Amino acid sequence: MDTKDLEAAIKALSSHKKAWKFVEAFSHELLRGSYTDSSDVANTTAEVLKVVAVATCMAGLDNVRRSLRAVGRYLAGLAGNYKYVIGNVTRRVLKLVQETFDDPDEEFSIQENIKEALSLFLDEFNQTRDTMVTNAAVAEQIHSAEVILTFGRSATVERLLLEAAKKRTFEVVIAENSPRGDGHGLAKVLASEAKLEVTLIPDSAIFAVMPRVHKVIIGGEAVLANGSLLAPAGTLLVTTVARHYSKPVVSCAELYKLTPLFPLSTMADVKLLHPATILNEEIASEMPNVNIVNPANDLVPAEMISLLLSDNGGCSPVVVHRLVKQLYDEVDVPL
Amino acid sequence: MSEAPTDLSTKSERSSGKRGKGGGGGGSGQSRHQGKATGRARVQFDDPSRVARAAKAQITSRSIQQSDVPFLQHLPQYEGNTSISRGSGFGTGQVHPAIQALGVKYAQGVITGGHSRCLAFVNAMEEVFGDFVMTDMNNAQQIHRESSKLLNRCVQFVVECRPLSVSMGNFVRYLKEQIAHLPLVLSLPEARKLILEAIDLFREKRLLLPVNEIADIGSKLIGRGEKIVVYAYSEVVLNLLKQARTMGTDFLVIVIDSRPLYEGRRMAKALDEAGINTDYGLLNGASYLIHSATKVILGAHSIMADGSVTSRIGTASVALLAKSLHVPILVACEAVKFSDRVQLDSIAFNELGDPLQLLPSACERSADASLSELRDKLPSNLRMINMLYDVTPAAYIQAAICEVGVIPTTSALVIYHEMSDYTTSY
Repeated sequence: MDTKDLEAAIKALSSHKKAWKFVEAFSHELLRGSYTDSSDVANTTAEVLKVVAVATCMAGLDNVRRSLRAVGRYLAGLAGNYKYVIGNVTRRVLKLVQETFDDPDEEFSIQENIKEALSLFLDEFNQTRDTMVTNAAVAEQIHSAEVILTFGRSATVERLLLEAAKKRTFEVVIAENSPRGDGHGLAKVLASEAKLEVTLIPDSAIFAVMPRVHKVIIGGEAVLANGSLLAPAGTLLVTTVARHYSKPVVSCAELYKLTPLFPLSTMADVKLLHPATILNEEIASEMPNVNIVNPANDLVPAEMISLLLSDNGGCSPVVVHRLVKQLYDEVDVPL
Repeated sequence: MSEAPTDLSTKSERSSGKRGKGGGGGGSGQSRHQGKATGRARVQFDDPSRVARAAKAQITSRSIQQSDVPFLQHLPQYEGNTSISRGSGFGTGQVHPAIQALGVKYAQGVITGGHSRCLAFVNAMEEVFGDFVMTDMNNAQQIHRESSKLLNRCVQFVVECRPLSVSMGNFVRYLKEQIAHLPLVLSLPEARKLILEAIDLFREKRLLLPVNEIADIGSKLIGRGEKIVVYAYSEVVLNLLKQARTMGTDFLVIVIDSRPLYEGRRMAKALDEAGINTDYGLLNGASYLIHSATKVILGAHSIMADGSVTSRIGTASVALLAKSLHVPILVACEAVKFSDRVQLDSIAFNELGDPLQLLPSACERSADASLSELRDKLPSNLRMINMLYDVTPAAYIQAAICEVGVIPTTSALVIYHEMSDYTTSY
């Protein structure tokens, strides 16, 4: 779908007033950066796409597919880190719509069919994270008195640790993930709410402390088709150190992070962020010619990850491509 | 073995002098290995009897605390806010003012870095021995006793402010042996002169000259268009890079930095002022930054007997990433920082900084400040660690650049023994 088609599809959609209002509201929230948790983004995306699908399905399969892809691409373009999640949810809705059109319940109209199918999907989809953390295969990964190291604050990892803390006591070492420093927030939650033994370390101490650690648990924004993990910058440092000490690395990602794309260059997906977060204006002005580099992501190769936990349970990252085949239609891979 | 300690200038003299000294030199060499020198046995702070003994020998009124992190209880706990930094813990006239001033600077982190700390200590000891007087002069033996007592006292004070660096330990050992080997019949001015000459010799040959030598050797290893990764701040590495720039080589330096010390800012600023192209990023971007690099040049606090390198915390992870990305790693380190100790991990011996430094400072506005409001009432199950050093395994490092040349780091022990012999023999 090229840009011209996309524009046409968006234009056509804006005549569906109600659906368009949903899309616009969500796009504003995305632009404002109001989201800090991928599961909120995934759920809202699914809701919005449901409205779009229901509104446009009367005009036939081609029309609804075009509208969904246009909205998916439009939203993903605004979503920064969450572009993969939005893309993946779009692909799943597309597949579902296709299946409903292929095999409709003749008693009802196509609109009712679509509505029914997507409502069922949403009921389950909204529970993704709960399903994940209560999944026995996931929950049993942390045993008692274990020392777990995590990097920064991933909402998925946080839920997992909080859930595990209900069953047993263990220690958590948190690398703060500067310059964001979101590890501090996780430390506060785990220490005050879950009453776990928490140790906060700067990123520089990861190598020194790793011998004390039993398992490394990390989150990320996308799992790519070869099992590698797109995660906050610094995660590759953690996994490299873990490999040095032969510590298992567990990556946690809901299935909506499963992206049917292959990384073609390790650096291609790395975005650079604004330098001011690592060096404020005042200090930067003392070294006018210094080029400040603040990458957003690391791509952790699949061979550095021992186990991938998702709402589907645990699996080795090398079989991710099979999950990808199950979840998405081949034709939807390039949105 | 009773010559004055002034004839150590050239390498040929050094080796011939060593061979020629006979039994005396051999004896001193042996005693050095028996662990009698200062700073040999580190106080293990989880051993009550050793802590009690250490408390008894204390000059300042610092309290000895245990770390609340279980696996760090054998290390001295950080106490920045105690008497030393407020300047009230000093006994009257017990310690020379130069040492007192120096101790405060160490404790407050005004002087940091292995090179600068050692140089400042040597300068202060020069002042101390320049003012060395004895009220009661009966025999020459007393000079030995009094001067080593004086030295011990200064060392004790400095250690209480901050543990000695490896280079400072080597200097103390050197000075002790110089004092022990002073000729038996000597007037006070003569003794003072000999000690001052020994101190001056150490400063020239072991501290100042090596930095220039390393710059000479290391700068030739940097080619046109290279991208050199450095970590935090190192006097020796900075000097080397400046020298390469002076030679007209055009290259890029990538400074990797980390919280909470941000020493890399000082490095980046100095490189910028020297007209060197510089990139700057934090440790979380290290894999991205090292990806395009051609070399890594690291500073060191010490190179140990097995060739592993103690350096500013974070160095080991930079080295590990560079190794995994197949970028060669060099360590620039003066031989005075070589040590005969061995350490397998970063925990067996380390220094602890202020854990509260981990809380975001005023200039880190974009960082998560969730813990700042808990500053004074952190829950007991939430601990923060701020260690100062880590240990990089020898296997990661291609070579060390020292004043003797480019050597494998595992050869540091050989140089250490050679150098110790040469400085302690006459």
